[in-house]
Amino acid sequence: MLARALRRLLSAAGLAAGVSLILLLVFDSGLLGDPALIETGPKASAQRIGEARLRLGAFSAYEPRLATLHVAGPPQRFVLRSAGDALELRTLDGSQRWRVPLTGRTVQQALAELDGASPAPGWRLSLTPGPGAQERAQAPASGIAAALRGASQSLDTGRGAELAWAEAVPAWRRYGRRIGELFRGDFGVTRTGQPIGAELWSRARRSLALAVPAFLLSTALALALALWAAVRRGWLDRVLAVLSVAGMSVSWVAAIPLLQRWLAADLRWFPIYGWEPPYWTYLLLPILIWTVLGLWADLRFYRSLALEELHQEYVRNARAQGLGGARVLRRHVLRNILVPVLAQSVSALPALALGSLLIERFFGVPGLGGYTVDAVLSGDQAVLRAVTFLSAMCFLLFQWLADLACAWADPRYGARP
Amino acid sequence: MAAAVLLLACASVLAPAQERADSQGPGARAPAARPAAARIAFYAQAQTFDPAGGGTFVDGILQQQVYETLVEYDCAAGAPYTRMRPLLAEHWESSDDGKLWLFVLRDDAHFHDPYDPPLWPERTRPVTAHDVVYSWLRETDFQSSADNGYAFEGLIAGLDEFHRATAQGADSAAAAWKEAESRGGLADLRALDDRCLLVRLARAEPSFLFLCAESNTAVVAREAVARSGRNFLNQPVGTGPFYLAEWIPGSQAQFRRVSGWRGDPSPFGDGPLPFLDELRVLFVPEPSTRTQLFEAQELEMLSVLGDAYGRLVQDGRPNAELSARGVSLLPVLPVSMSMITINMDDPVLGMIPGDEAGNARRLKLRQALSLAFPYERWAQAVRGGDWAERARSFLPAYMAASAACPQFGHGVESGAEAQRLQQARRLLAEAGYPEGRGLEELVVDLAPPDRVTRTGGEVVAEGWSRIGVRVRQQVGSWAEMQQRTTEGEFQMMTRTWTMQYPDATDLLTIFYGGSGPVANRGRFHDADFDRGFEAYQATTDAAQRDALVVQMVQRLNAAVPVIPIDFPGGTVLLQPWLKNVRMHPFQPYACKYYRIEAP
Repeated sequence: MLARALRRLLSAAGLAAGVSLILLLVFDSGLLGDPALIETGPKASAQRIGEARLRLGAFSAYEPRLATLHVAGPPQRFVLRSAGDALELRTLDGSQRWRVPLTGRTVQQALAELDGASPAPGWRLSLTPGPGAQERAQAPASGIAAALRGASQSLDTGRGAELAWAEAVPAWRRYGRRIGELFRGDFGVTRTGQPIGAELWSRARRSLALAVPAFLLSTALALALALWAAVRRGWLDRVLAVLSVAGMSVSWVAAIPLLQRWLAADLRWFPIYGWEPPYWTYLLLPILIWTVLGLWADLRFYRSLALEELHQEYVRNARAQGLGGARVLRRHVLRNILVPVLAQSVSALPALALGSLLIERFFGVPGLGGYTVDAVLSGDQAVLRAVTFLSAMCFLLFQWLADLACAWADPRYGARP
Repeated sequence: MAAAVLLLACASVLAPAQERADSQGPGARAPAARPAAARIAFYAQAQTFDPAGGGTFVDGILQQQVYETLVEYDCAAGAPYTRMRPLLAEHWESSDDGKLWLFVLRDDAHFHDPYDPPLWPERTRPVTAHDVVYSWLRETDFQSSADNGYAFEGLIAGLDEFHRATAQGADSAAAAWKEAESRGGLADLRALDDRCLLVRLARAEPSFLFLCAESNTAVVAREAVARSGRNFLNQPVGTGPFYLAEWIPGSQAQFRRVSGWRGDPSPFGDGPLPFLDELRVLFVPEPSTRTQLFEAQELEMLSVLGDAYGRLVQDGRPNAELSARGVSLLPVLPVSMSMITINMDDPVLGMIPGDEAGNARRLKLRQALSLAFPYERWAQAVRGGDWAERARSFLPAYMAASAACPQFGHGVESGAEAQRLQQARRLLAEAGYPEGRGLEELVVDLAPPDRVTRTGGEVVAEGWSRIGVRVRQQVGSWAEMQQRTTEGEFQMMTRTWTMQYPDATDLLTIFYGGSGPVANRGRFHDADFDRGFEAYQATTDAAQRDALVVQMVQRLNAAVPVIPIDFPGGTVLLQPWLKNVRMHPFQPYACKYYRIEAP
């Protein structure tokens, strides 16, 4: 048993490494968009975007006012953008392009090259140094391209473009730091500075307060009804089959507000919405709805497991030997279906920590589900990263626990590699 | 087994009152016989109670219940909603050129500390001009503010340098603070004494007083910031009529009346403020739940959105059942404008310097698109009713200069759809694309990928197909669109600009060449417009400003850098016992005026 536990733990560690790789791909590769652009919103200036990157750790230093670049010549508009570690100036139709490689140069050298250069016949560039030009004179010039990345500028004969400088932090280094912080339990802060770790914990407790009773009730009820249907068959089985199909077909999005309106708003049996002492009064209706809506799929699954066991030869033998129906059910049928029931139930537990996104939203339970949805809506990647990490770790932990529980319930399961 | 462990772990959450932060605050007075309590709901969550915390629209509203600014909008005044009232400032004066401002603070404003141990004996301390300087510097400080940007950016000399220094690292920030404090502020932002604040602006800024009413310029107490540290965003210590009694993120915030508050007179003449003993704000993301709460009389106010509108509002009035109960309706004036922004650097649609003939053709193409825009269909399919003001100009109707502005529509009666289409076809042909022949498929970027966005895209495509223009919709996440459009890699995009204050510059800034590629996403560069914009900012004469707005709008009408669609507003339902509610477009939830009247 111990060896098995250790073996599974090692495999979970491998999975954790995989999860962290996925976190890199999702959050640090820019797959969800540049968090600085999301954070600064539509009214941002180039300086605000640069400072947001500084705040988010994408830059380790930022100088917004390096120099202003002007162009003189016939009316023409150029686009100034970063192209790798170079600056690129091109006409709007792309017919003419001019590149200034920046690698291996200092800011001073790059600015000197830009000042007086001719990007195309008839046009000449000039520079007005800003307060940062002197301070960053010896800094690597590639920082000019880094600051311009993701926010190209128009430059025309009537209007200059602002050059900034930044020291970019490579994605792999940011990723390494963040993964390290997550494994140390440091989840960081939200966009507005709220500590995420404390909030995760208090919200997880509320989600569990809703999800665990609902889960236990739903599982117990499904198991009891499944056994009853399997043993009795006949009309009861048929009625439960019809109810199960109906229950599984109903959309939770439609059913929750309907039941909420009927039981809380119309009949006034429960509070409609809220979260204040005594908290349990606000949990009763969500738990009831979750139980009622969630039991049908389990019921069908458990019923087929029970039916399969009831038709086994050893059950018929036990009955032929005079064992009572209840005893056969308890000692043989229930025990034998326990492994798949446990495997299914325990692997569903990680989802409980997240609660039900829908039920939490409709009833105002301030749990992890609502936290996650809000983070998605506001694009708060620090929260999303923490929740993803936490749920992945919960999943691995509960898989491990499910494995141990199954081995405990059925030694044959444990004997398998 | 695991479930049992979890059950035990979560059982503690059911223990009552763990989260209740309510202590013996200044409002901990003996319970009144019938406390006047109001409950309102927002769809979004509160995230911070720190004015410098970079919060959302909802955060701003909640902070205004606890904190105060120098001035506030006069909620009792009507259009154009620009009249301001004193709040922490007793009065103010400005120089003729509009650059020098002197604020004299009232002497009866106090901070109230509801937390234990209290910061001050009696839990209060008078507000001084030094607090204003500290608060504004703190809001500008890159290290202490969670926001990107600051209220008076580019406006007060020395403030930009202060911000730049604080962004260079902790040491540089400490040095900047030390220097500012040794001089009693900055040269152009300083306290003359405890009650007088001097501000010198780099230019005459018409929106300066409006900025002084923004929640991020609210005045905080240095001692409260020092005590709470990073937790200051959860422990507000303000000068307002309410204090934060409890905040459960994701659920609700509860405010209580500050006992012995100075009691400003109500602008409605019905007694000293505030009238409420308690204000409860629920965060309810689901519209159906909000509606149920209102119908069950568990909310005093309901903002009606989307599908609920058709059910609750009929013919512009509450439905029969609600009307019978005395429920009333208030329109919420728009503060945002929806538009289709055209990339003026685009070779098919834009304005290419030096190519005069091509520019004339491309202008006709843009005019044709704007004339063929399906306004009626948009109002029906996207707005789902009558709660948006159609954009007939670049400014909403309640703005002062709006009436004088030329209407959009290139000389065609805006109501005559057939006539508009006919002229659009003619312009399209003059642009070199008769019936759309020879014109490549145009691309409109849309975000986010939800039902309303997709419907909007279909409406636009269908509308322009009437003149033979083919449109491809590029639907993506908001972040994708943001990234693409900031880089200038787009042809057209749908956009909504939310105004911060009731001044034309707020909206017109998106066309100003100096605004940069993020605000001026369409990369519109027009020397005449820019001159008008700069002249507007430099003058204090109201008539001259209005004339400049008209001039700028004329330039926009002539160049068509965007196709204005509408100004989406809103509707609020009120229970009959809630009085003194005014939905000022820029200060819509002034809860200190609310009064509960017994039926």
